[in-house]
Amino acid sequence: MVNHSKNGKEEEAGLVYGHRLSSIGPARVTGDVVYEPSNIDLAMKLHYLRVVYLFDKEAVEGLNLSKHKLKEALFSWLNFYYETCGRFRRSDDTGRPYIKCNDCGMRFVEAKSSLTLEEWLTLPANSLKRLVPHHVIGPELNFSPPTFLQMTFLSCGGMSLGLSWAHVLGDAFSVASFMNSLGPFLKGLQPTSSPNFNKSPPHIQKTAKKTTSFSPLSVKKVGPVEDNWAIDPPCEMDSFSFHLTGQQLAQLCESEGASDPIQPFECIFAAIWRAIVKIKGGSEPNVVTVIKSGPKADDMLLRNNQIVSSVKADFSVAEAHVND
Amino acid sequence: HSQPLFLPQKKKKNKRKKMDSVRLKYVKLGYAYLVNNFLRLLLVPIMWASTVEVLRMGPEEILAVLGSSAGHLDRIQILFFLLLVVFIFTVYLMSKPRPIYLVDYALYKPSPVWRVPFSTFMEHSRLNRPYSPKSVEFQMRILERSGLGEETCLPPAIHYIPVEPTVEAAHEEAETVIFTTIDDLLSKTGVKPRDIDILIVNCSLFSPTPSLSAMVINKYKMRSNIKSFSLSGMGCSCSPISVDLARDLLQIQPNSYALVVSTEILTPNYYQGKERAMLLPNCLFRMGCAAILLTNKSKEKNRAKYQLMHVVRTHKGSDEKAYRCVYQEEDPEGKVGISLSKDLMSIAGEALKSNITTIGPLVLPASEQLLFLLSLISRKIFHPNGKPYIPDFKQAFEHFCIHAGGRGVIDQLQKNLELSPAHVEASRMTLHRFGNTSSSSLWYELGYIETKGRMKKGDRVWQIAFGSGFKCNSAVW
Repeated sequence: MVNHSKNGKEEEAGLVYGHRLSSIGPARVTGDVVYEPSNIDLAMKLHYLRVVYLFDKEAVEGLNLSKHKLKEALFSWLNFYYETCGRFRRSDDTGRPYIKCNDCGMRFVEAKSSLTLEEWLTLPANSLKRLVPHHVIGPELNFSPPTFLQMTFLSCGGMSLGLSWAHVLGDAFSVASFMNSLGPFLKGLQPTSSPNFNKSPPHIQKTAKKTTSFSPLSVKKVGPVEDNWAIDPPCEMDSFSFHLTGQQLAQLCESEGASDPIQPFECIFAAIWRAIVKIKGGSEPNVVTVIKSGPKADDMLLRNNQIVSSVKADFSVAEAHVND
Repeated sequence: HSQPLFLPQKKKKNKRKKMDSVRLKYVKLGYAYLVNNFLRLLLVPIMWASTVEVLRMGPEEILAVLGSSAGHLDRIQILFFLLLVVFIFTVYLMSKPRPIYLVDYALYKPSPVWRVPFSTFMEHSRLNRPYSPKSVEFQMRILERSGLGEETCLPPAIHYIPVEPTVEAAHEEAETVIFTTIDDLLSKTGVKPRDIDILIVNCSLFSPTPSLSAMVINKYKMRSNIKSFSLSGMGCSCSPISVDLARDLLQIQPNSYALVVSTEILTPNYYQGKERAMLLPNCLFRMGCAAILLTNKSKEKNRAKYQLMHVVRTHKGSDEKAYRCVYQEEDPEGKVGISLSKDLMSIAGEALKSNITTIGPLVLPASEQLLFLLSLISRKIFHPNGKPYIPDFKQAFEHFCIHAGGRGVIDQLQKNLELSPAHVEASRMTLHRFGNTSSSSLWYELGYIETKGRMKKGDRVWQIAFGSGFKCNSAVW
């Protein structure tokens, strides 16, 4: 997927303009390293995580980095996450995808915006899409970067970092720790240890049990996608976020005489489920898929740690109490 | 394990061969020693005979002999004779060329931010040329055979998709590369910019107005009576040319420092078309720069690293094929690139032969020169088609810096000059780590030899450079 750079004419017109594409990769040569994604990683291969980080003017000025020093920090950071800079290949015998860590790089987009940070925050969340490249892996696996990073310089002096991340590399928590680890590099601190070249997730070999006759409720099988790892969503998806204060959360989760205390996550998802059922009317859906974070892995490892499960309700969700 | 019938004989044959080669080595050594020290060896019996004579004659006899010969002359003639001797001695001293010393040199180490792994080069090539998959494949094949490693660097403008070869970007590259290197050199040597008397900058492909030398003078606020030169278009062999120019200027200007900057600015020259002959430079040329401080000041003799012995320049431009061998022109689509002809290797070989013919008498020991002469005579008279004798340059030099033009060039020269892999290691490693940095590659190789601790006092170095024109230039330190 090629994003052609726009010329100066669009400067004043576009919200985001002046796109320049290049690549950033690890500063040191990674060598002959291969990253083998696990089964859960490959199950998530059609999904992408997109996140935008916004920095205000003081933060950017506080960093006090020239553009070149900024790039040097990014390159040092990627020394430790070289798997995000590799490219997918298919194994010759099984056809299973793996990542060849050949330092090809993350696609890097530099852009400018005519808006200030405040103006961006007033726009609907959907517009933030412009600060993130929307990429998919494919149709040629060998030449598709798994990650894209867009650095947009806002007119007020602030900056936004938009990351487009292939879910196959890791879950949302991994992305968060990945981006957070950039912080010390921007300040010029060097990590105490050298990169770990054995980052592939452990391959769990399950003995073949008797074949089950039903397909799992929590995942839906899609048609073959070959090397184009994208799906057409069944409907327009949007993201929605709301804030809960501690008090509201406590109110939601108060349990009368329950044996074990209910986790906040369960309370929230139950409340949302009930609300959706009430809005839709009727009793659908009574099965939902829940993705929770599994046990936390090592800091610099990227993992798909989610545990995908489904919950089925036998009773009328609309009428039930959250506790149920 | 089984013993085949012929093994014992083979062992004997090998042993004999080994003995033969060892004997031959000693013969060669003996011959070399004899010829090189011929005059000294001749002097020994003369000295001995005259000492014996002197000892035989008593002191009175000696005085009498001297007195009789001196008696024929009167005082004025003696004085005149003495003055003549003094005069001849002075003329000899004055006409001796000033020794030129290399105080120190600095090499540019590009930031890893600009490095180009093979995979990135390929991917960008594909994205930049979506309609020419064959050229992309061709570039991949070249890169695989090139001898370049994964740490070579291209300037920032070339990293963008599409590339942005603007004049401004070229200026930025020039400033970053040249100023960093000069800063390094000035801090290493402790010389101030205002002390520089001669400035020579060579960069073949980027020649802006004002010149790169003016850019340096502007940045470092050098003196207004500085002699500055900016050499452009002279190709990869320009470093010995700049050194030669500095040497000539230092002959006429006493007590001076000369700063020579050798570089290649790649930004304006990324070929964007699909002609195969023109794609080679894209694959091989990489960022690099060397800054060298030369002087004729005798006070620098103690801390100078090298002394310049000879510079030999050979130009094959009068031959049409050699002239067109490396040629910058527009391809059928109108895109400008540098086309390398297929005869490059053979033309380089010819140019090298010419250069060797000139440099041989200057550096080879008498034994090798005699052998070469004898083989030349025997070829002319007896065997017109015989193999020419290649003088053993390993006897003249300890270190070789061969321009890292590509793996083919280094292989060819290694074969032609019969060098061992250890001799060409510096060239190969420079090609691997930095790529073909054009005129500065000789200095990276010298730096490699020094870093490995192989350079000792009294060692002689031969720098050989090839370039468009077609030129073959050598510098001997």
